[in-house]
Formats: sequence, structure tokens, C-alpha cells
Amino acid sequence: MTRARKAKDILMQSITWAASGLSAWVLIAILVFIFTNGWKLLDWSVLSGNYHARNIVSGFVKESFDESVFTPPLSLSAEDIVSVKFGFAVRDEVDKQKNHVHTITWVDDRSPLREGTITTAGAAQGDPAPFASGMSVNKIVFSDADGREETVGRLKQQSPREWVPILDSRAAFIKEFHGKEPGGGMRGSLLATLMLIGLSLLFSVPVGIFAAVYLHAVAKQNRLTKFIRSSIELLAGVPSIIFSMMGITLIFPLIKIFGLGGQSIILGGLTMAVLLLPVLIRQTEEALRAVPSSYAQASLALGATQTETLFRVVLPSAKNGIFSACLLAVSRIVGESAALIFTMGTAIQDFPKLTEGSTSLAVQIYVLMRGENPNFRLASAISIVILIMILILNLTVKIVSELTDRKGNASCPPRRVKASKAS
Amino acid sequence: MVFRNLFRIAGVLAAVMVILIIIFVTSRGIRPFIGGEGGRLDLKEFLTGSRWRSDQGIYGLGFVIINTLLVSIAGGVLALPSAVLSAILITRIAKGKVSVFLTTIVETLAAIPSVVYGVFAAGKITVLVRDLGHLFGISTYGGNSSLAVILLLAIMTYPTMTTLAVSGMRSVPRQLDSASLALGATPTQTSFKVIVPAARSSIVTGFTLGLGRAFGEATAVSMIAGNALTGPTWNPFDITRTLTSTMLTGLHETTGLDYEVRFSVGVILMVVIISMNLLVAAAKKRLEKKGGAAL
Repeated sequence: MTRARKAKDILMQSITWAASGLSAWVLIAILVFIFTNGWKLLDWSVLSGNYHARNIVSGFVKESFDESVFTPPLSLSAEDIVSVKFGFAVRDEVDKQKNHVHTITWVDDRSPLREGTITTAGAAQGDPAPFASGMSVNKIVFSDADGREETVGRLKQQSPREWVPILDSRAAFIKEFHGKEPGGGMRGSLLATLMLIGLSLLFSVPVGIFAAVYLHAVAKQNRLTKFIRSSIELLAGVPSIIFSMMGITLIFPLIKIFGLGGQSIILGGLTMAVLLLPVLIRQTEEALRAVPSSYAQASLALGATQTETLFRVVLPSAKNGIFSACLLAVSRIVGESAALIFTMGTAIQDFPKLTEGSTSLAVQIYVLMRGENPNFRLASAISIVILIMILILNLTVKIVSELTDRKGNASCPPRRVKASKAS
Repeated sequence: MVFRNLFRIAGVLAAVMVILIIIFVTSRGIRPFIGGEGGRLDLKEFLTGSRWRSDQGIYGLGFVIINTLLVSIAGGVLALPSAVLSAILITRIAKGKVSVFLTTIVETLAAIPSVVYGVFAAGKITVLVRDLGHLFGISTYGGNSSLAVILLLAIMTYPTMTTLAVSGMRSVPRQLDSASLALGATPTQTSFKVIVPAARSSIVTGFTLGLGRAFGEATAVSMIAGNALTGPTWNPFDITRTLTSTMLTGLHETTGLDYEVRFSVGVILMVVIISMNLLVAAAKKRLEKKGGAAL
């Protein structure tokens, strides 16, 4: 080999390394960006919290207050101003909108403030009112020993250092608490995503498996079958935003017959069900194809009908592949946004209902990123949740397929079939 | 027998869906042109117009179509060389675990959902474009631009193209490889001059699939396109507007022309994708004919 040829070879090889290096660098850049922006924010309160901040006004009854004195835990810092009489601590903080807030950092388990009920008129009136770490205090109305009412708190321009000692020294019992439950959580979207996954799979898995069985075992090799195959192939290439339009023009009028109007998780689920069909059919058919034909032949030779053979021999043998197909479908649902924007809407709900519009995690990200001031931190935190979900799903698929490959050559059909033939 | 029919119904249902989609979306999409609720649009102006002012009732989609073609094709063309080179590395140069590792990178990129790409694009790619603009003394709209969309689409189409190229190169017959080596070509020369041409059919298919993804990509693109009101956008640092970003603007309306016209844009999107597929299919046929004669 001449030196020039060798040099050229090395150059060409390094170009291929450079191209792959570029893709690796992009992947790392994406992960670093998402994790540095979202990791710090991501904790239990963001996962389980409401998205919309909620004002709470709660009332207390005199009887729940006694003369007990509370001892604060040692974990509190000097910033936390403790009320030993009522068993809580607050801290002066500056929130994302640069406002001062008095955040509750500790509430004793026996604190009488946990006994409050919501007093504002509405459906929630009379419900137990939350008083917990993370909430902020706007004002507290208390009554002194002589029955005189007084108000303290942030709305009276007092810092916690000023108003907590007043409360401890003068208050006999607390009459009213005005506070705020922080927003910025993702629980609603998380629940909506789970509902969506359930509904989409419920609608699409039976149709997908049946269609795959049809293509694999029932259909003859003719023009119709070829047409069906290419149609399903074409369906896989339809952009998801077009599925969104299909949801509105085709499925919406259909479910309106059953009295379901407007955007809803049901509409989103049905739309996703159609979107998932190509994935499910392709994967299931592949799983069916991997079942050795000797299984089916043996079953048929033993006198089983075709339907029996299918349900007792072929489908059980392909169950791992079908399971993988469902997992891939789930990871598609978790990441999907465009197909859901029109069908489920863009209003983030804290308490999603099947018959009402709400956002999935992916759509919540889209909503947060829209507009003048995108909320990168929460969007990244939700992205981390989505990425972890997809990673787990894809890893499971890999493990399942590896297990199947290892077992693939074992020549015994599932045990259940043996038992049923023996009887 | 019952089950047999159930299977057939499921199969036919899945096949019919794509036809139903075309019929229903199209029938809704042509409504604004035959005079439905909220007014009537002129088809010629809609297809060739260069202004999109929904606030003034002007809907000219022509420049949007050109913009979409521009950014998608530019993104695809940018991604194609890296995809082919990566595929060569994965199938021909890297061995064992390295090859598996490189494949995992491609698979991971393919698994990242488009909204997550959107967050990254809005936070990083736009900043990159903005700084690049500063370097040339061009001020950008915070980095929202054609160029940002092109870069994003290049990243998003890369995994599809690479996967297809890899499977194409893997299925090239061993004889071709051996023949080239026996004639004295180096393994690297063989990879570039024999394997790549032999796998061109898969590479073109991957390119088409990637372009299809680029045309239809909605949420990520709409976060950084900037939604220009006029066009076409020739300057890569200027804001742009694509078919999908148009469909996602002003979501609050749920009635009237502003809402209905979205379906018309959807119809155009389908037409663009289908014609692109037909075009590439025709090109592929010619390519194969030529290749057959040469071999």
C-alpha cells in the first residue's frame, strides 16, 4: 500500500468518526441541557403538585387549640421563624416572580392548624384545608384572650420576624388563615398521560393484534392483501398533526353520537389508537412470524381447529413480542404531542377527567414553551420524566427480546397447551 | 369462523383508516373555498399568496409552502452525509462493542420525543444561531430563524436516515465486498466506492422517510420558527413559517375561518408529502435502472 493511499484511507476513516462524534456530541448536549435545567427543580412536590396555584382561606374552631408547646426539629435553620405556640415555622423567601413570600417550612403533626376547613364558598367549602410545608402565608387572623380580633402577616407589611412573635405572645386561638398553595406541578398531566395510555391501548391493541393475525395467518397472498399492507405502511408515514385533524373531522362526530362533545381524553385516546395501529401491527406480525410453523402444524395435526391453534399455540408463543409491541406503543404515547394538541386541548388541568380536555406531559411542555416567557425549568423537569419513562420502556423491550431470543430455540411449546391436549 | 371475520374486519379497518383520513381532512379542508361558515377564500390566492395575516383575513400560503420545502430539504441534505458516514463507521469500520455503542446513540436520538427536541432547540440552537448572527453583525429575533429550524430538522432526521443506511449496508452481498478487496482496493475504498453505491436504494428510502418527518414535524418547529407574516424567507437568519407552525398558531379559536383554514393547510401538507414520495419513487426507479446497466 502506498503512503498516499494509506493517508487517504486514514482521512476517510476519520471523517466517519467525526460524523458519528458529532451525533454523540449532539446527544450529550441535549441531555446536559435538559438535566441542568430541570434536575434541580424535579422533586416530589413538582411531581405530585398542582400546576395552578390555589388560594386557600381556612377557618378554625376554638376547641382545637389547647395550651401545648411545640418543639421545632433541629433541621430548621436560623432563617426559619418558629411559632412554638402553634407548631409551625415560616421563612421569608423571594419567588420566581421576584415577590416576597412567607413560606411554611415546618408544621408539627399535632399542630392545631392542621384542623382547618376551607371557608370560601364553593364546592370545596367545608373540606379539610391544607396547611403544610411549601405553602405560603398571606395573613393570619387571630383572637386574643379578651376576644379582640387582630390580623398579622405579609399583607400587613410585616416580616415573619415581626409577626410570628406577635402571634405567639398575643393570640389565644387562630380564627382564619389566608394562604397560597404553590403551583408549577405536573400531577394533572401525569394522571392524564396514564389515562391516555390506558385508553389508547384498550382501543388499539385488540384491533392491532387481530389485524396482524389476519395479515399473518388468514389473508391470502392476493391484491387485496397487498393493498392492505401498503395502506398500513402509508398510515405509518402520516404526520401526527394530520392525525390530530382526523380526530376532529372523523372521530369527533362519531363520539358525539354518544354525547361526548368537545376536546377530551377519550377523543385523544381514540386518535392515538389509530396512530398506534401501524406500530402494533408491524411488531405483532413480526412476533407471529418468529413462531416456528411446526408449532401450528403440530397443533393442527393433533386435531385442533385453526382458531384453537391460533389462540392456544401461536398467540401464547408470540406473547413476548406482543408485549414488546405494547411497550413501544406506550413510549410513542408518552412522547406524542402534535396529535393531542387539537384533540385534548392545551388547558392544563390539575384534576383531569376522561370526558374533558387536559394535557399530557408532552403537551404540557408544549404549552409551557409557548408564548413570550417560556418556562424552561419546568419544561426541562417534565422532559426528564418523559425521557426516563421512555428509557425504561425501551430497555424493557430490549431485555424481553433478548430473553425471547435465548429461549427461541427451545423446542417445547407453552405448558398450558400441553395440559389442554392431555385432558 | 366468527374470529376469521373479526380478523378480516380488523385488517380492513386498519387499511381503510388512511383513506378515511384523506377523505375527511380533505372534505373539511375544501370548505373555506366553497363558502362555508365565516367567509370564502380564493384558491389561487391561497396557493400563491405571499402574506399570511389572519388578523386581516389574508391567507396566502404560497410562501409557507416554499419555506417548508426549503427548511426541510436543507435539513435533510445537511443530515444525509453524516448519516451515511455514521452508517459506514457502524457497519464497516467499528468492531464489536464500539459498533453497538454507536448504534445505541442513534437509537437514543431516535427515541427522544419531538417536544424535548423543541425545548433543546429553543434553549440552545436558537442561542447558537443568535451568536452566529452577532458574529456576522446580523441581528436575529432571539435566534428564532430558518437556520435554527434547519439545524433542528437535521438533528431530527439523522437517526431515521442512519438506521436505514445501516440496514442497507448490512444487506449488501458479501461477494461485492470480496470482489473489491480481491481487486486490490483497501477496505476503506471498498466501503466508500462499492458498499455505499450498492446500498443507495436504502439510503434514498431513508432520505425520503427523513424528509417526511421533517415536513410533518410540528411542535418542535413551531417553538423556534418565529412565524413570519410574509415571505418566502431566503435569509437563513430571518424568521420563517412552515405549514405545521401555521397549523399550530392561534389555537384559541375554535370556530370561524381562522379555525377552518387550518384543515386546508393540513390538506396542502398531505399533498406536499405525497408528491415528494412520488417524486422520490420515480427518481429511485431511474437510479436503479442506471445502476443495473452499470453493474
